[in-house]
Amino acid sequence: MASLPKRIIKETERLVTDPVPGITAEPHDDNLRYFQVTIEGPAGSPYEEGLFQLELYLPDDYPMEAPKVRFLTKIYHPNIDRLGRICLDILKTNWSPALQIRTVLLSVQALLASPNPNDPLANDVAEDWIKNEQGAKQTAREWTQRYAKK
Amino acid sequence: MTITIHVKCAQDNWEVPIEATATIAELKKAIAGVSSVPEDAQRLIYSGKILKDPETIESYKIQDGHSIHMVKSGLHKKSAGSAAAPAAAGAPAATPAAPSMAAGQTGGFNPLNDLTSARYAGYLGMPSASTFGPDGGINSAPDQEELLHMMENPVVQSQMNEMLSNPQMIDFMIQSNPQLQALGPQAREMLQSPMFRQMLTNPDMIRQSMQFANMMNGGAPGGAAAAPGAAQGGFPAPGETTEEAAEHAAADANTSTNTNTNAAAANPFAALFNPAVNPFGAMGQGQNAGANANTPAFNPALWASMLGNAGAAPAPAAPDNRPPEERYETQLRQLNDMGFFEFDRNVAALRRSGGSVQGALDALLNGDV
Amino acid sequence: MSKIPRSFRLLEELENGEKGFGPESCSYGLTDADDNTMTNWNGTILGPPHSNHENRIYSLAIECGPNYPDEPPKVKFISKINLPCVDQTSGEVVAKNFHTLRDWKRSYTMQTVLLDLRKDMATATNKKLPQPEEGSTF
Repeated sequence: MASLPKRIIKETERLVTDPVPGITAEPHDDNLRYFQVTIEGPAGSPYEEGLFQLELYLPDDYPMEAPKVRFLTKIYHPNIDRLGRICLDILKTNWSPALQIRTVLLSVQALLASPNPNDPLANDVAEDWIKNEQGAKQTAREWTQRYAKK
Repeated sequence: MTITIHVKCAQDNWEVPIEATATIAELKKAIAGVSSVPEDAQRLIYSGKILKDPETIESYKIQDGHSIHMVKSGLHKKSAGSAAAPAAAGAPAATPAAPSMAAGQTGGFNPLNDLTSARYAGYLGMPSASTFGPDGGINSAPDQEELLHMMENPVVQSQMNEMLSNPQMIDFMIQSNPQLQALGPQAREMLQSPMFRQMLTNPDMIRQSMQFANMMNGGAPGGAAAAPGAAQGGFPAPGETTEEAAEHAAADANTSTNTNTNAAAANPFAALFNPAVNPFGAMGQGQNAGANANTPAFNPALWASMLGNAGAAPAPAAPDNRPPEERYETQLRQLNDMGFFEFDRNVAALRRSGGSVQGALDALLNGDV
Repeated sequence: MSKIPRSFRLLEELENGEKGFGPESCSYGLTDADDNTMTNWNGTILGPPHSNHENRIYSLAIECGPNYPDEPPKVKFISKINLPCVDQTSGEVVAKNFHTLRDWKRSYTMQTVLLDLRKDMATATNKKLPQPEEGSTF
């Protein structure tokens, strides 16, 4: 394996020495571009009290290319589909090499606090969210209890 | 909700708008309407499944913009030569546009056609060859500001995007640039990577990465190493310190990993930014070629000479009864690499050229097969 | 080249299959679109021309285990087919008789397997093998 670019080493070090509140990210021993991530559900959101497992991978072209991020824990959210794929602009068209792992994970956390049903990835969830926001949030709470309990 | 499904069948490709709640039987009816293939002769495949008539589109989770394949049952009739250009797998954005792009061009699809006429010709803001020095930009790299200014122009941006998403254009760039040729397959990979395209077409990103690079250089111990690169008036690799860029380039080139010294840093970095400049040179040259000829028409001789056309097809020595995928295995792979994915067309072109990839390429580009 | 983890690799393959970026002669997708382990896949191969397979569509089941793509997937024909590398009772593609699975490389994909199987159907010895009735299954 090619040596790890200094930028990735630096980012990893900082994630450990100066962690973001509510977020952990640790590289796998056998693949330092592959991170095991946890995000706490933001207070006041239907995901409160939940701990969500994610995986993050820095592709060869990182930071020219965005990190790949996926939820491993099942979650009821209009911008996250059944396979855990996330619809977030900075992971796609609006990626910039000036962003980093830390900012990406903060953005994912922010997405949990404020779902955007008008730009959905999971169509059925988004429909539910628009038609019956209270009900959808209740479902999201139930899923959090069932799948993401700490 | 209405979604649009791409239906692919051999060389044909239709876009079919339909309700997500419709059944497969209804979808077949809609396809029959645009394709003239009767419903009962259609077999539809999506994601490894043969679609069954009474099921719905929703139940198969077919989504807007997804593709399904159609296989005609019964005797396979050769469809009348569609001029649809094969869309490169690496350029998903081009896929739906491909047929319309080719349609209306009597002579088939040709990148030089585009380059020398219509969209590219006579565009004043394009960099001339002289901007980059007599050899296409090796000696005098363009001024950062000038580049940025040029890239702000949306017309230039869209042109760059279009050119870089066109596999033939990439071939042309590589063919016409010894420096890129020397890079081998890496050159193609680099030119086609979305990262590179973004780097060349997004002024914000260029600016941002310049700033980012400067910032990183200021604080990091790698600052000293960055100096040689910057002094060359180079094109900093976005988001990386030059030291890292050097590591990257060195790793890519499969050279030794010990590149953390300042001396080693200068060269790999040059390798990294030179190709970024060269395509501009190629563009300038290409445009000049068209302008000098004083005609927007495509010049076949020019194109042929660029490709190093092998000329007339040699006749095969003895009849070869192996199946084409075996006989032309390496050639087919090469054509795939160049963005031609239609097996039947590729084989036809290779048969015509007696197995010569160059000859087959001509046939494919000219729409002769 | 760094090693892309299993899940992101499979997501890439899934997208290629759904958007139809690959060749027309094969197709693949998740058996259950909600299965976030992405283990079980369907595949089809369009029989190669100028062979007894011409114009037939073969269905396959592909299982990408937890160690894919370090280890090859398990591949099984659902449609009946007479091919030396296919077990004639179970439909399974026998890895030791099929070079793509036997000499597996991490860079190979499900598409590689399907295309190579199609190639295998078209070899001089295999293309004339008598085939069971179209539509029958193992």
